[in-house]
Formats: sequence, structure tokens, C-alpha cells
Amino acid sequence: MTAVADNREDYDDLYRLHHPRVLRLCRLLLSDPDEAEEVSQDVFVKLLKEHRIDTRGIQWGPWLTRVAVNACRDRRRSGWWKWWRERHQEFAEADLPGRELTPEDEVLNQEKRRRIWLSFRGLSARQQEVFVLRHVEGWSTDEVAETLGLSTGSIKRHLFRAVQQMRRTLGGPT
Amino acid sequence: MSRCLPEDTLLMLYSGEGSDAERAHLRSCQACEARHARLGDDLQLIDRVLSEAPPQRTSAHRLAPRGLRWMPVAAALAGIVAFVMGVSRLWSPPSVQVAAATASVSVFAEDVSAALFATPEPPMLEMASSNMAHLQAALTGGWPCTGAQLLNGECNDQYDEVLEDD
Repeated sequence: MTAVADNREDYDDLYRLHHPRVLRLCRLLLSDPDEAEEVSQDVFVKLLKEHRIDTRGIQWGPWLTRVAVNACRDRRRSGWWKWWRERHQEFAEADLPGRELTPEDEVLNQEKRRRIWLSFRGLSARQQEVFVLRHVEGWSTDEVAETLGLSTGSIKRHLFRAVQQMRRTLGGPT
Repeated sequence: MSRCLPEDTLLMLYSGEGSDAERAHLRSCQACEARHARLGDDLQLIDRVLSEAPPQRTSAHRLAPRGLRWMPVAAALAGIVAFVMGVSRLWSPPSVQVAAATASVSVFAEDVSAALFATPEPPMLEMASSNMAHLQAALTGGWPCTGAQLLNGECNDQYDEVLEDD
């Protein structure tokens, strides 16, 4: 009984610690925020099941990230038409975050924000995954390669193309 | 290292990777350092924007260009039409044109076979056989007869034979 309670406590801690990050990851990889919420819940249901079975030596942070990336990929595959259509949708400037940001962020041009998001949505699914894991999650190239099942050279190429494409929207090098 | 670093190397250096020689070049080359700094600024900006909550989508009437939105649908429809046309062509009965072409081919084949296997006319055959008899007689030396042989009546058989042939 005590062990079960400990497990439950661990699970709650893990949820509190990782849920915002996993949700943000899902919202980056999926266009629809509702869908992202669903997928993140699925990820934590999987965590609950796995947590009951075996907790020895598992790094739950990377495990959650890996499961979330795979779940987002599965979701995109199942709804490819919706995902493709939404890649090309415009963003409403009025809905862009910025009203509660720092003065520095306020200065940031709204048009630039819109273009960055559009450019990110225009990346291939693989490029998005690589960029998010490498830059937003801060993983190393080797870790990203292992998680996505690609070579480090392939990860570097995907990352470079993604960065080039996004920098072009900011007027960077072509 | 004297040449300036390419963009992908600058990206690797920004990500904490790259060789010592590349790092040394970056420290010594002002142009590369400036490019590296610009790359860092851009990436920080991108990371900051992406770290915020993604903005909401616009309504359907402000979506991307119409052509882009309907491209997959148009491609799928074109594929279905092509498939149906292909299947119907495979399974449909032969058209009038095909029948006419088949008929003309049969007529041509009949003409060719008639020309190849035609038997000569009977008079022609008879003439050919009589000429052959004469030729054979000449070759064997039995004919034409000399004057003396004719007078003695030694060649009568041959004449009778020729006359009978004719």
C-alpha cells in the first residue's frame, strides 16, 4: 500500500514537473491546441502505465519527450489532410501573444512573430522535430539522433535546412 | 584555417559543437564572428517566439491561397478519373475502329495466303510438263534425231510422245 502511494506521489511529481513542457512540445509539433492537449494526456496515461510496471533506471524526462514526439507523429499521420491544410493557414495577429510580455518582447515586431510561426509550420515534420528537440528542448545532436533513429549527419542537415528556412523569413542569409 | 566558415559550421559552433580549429578561426576572424553573432540573435529570437504559446488560427476565409488549399483534392480527383478511365478502357468491348482494322487485316492475310499457295492454271501446267519432256530428251541425248535416224523411223516414238503431249 505504501509502495503504491509512493508511486502515485512520484507520478504526481512527474506530472507537475513535465506536463507544461510536454504540452508545449505537442503544441509545437501539432497545429491544433486541442489535439495537442489530447496527445499530452495520452502521453501521461502511458507514463502512468509504465510507471506501475517498472521504474528502475528510467530517465522520465527523455522518456516523456520521446513518447510525446512519437505520439505527435502518429497523430499527424492519422490526420494528414487536416495537418497539411493547417500548415498553410494564416495566424491572426490579434491572437498573437505579446500583451503580457516584457517590454523587450513588446518591441518585437508582430509581423516578425507571425512570419516565424508561419515559417516553422512550413517546415517538414522531421525538420520541426529536429529543431524543437535541438533548440527548444536543448538536446545534443547525438541524443536527437538516437531518439529519432537517424544519423547525426542527417540531424545536422535537417537542422541546418530548418534554421536557414526560418532565418530567411527574418531577412537572414539565403 | 584561413577561409571563412560556412553557415552550417557556424550553426554547429553556436550549438556547442565544432572543432578547435574552427573555434580559433571564429575568434580571429571578425567577419565570421559578426555572422556568428547574427546567427545567434536570429536563433534566440526564433526560440523565444516558439517558446510562447502558439497563436490561434484564423477563420477559414483567411486561409492560404485557394490553389494551395485545393491542390491535394484536385490531385486526388485527377488520380481517380485517370484510374476509372484506365479501367473502363481495359474492360470495354472493342470499338468500331478496332473491328474495321481487324477486318482489313484479315482481308490482307487472305490475299497474301492466296498469293503464296496459289496453284498454276492447268494449261500452264501442261505446257510446262511438255517443255520439260523436250528438255529431258535433249539432255539425255535422245533427241532431236539426226536426219538419218528420222528417215529410218528411229525417232517415231519420240515424235509420238511429243505430239501426244501437245
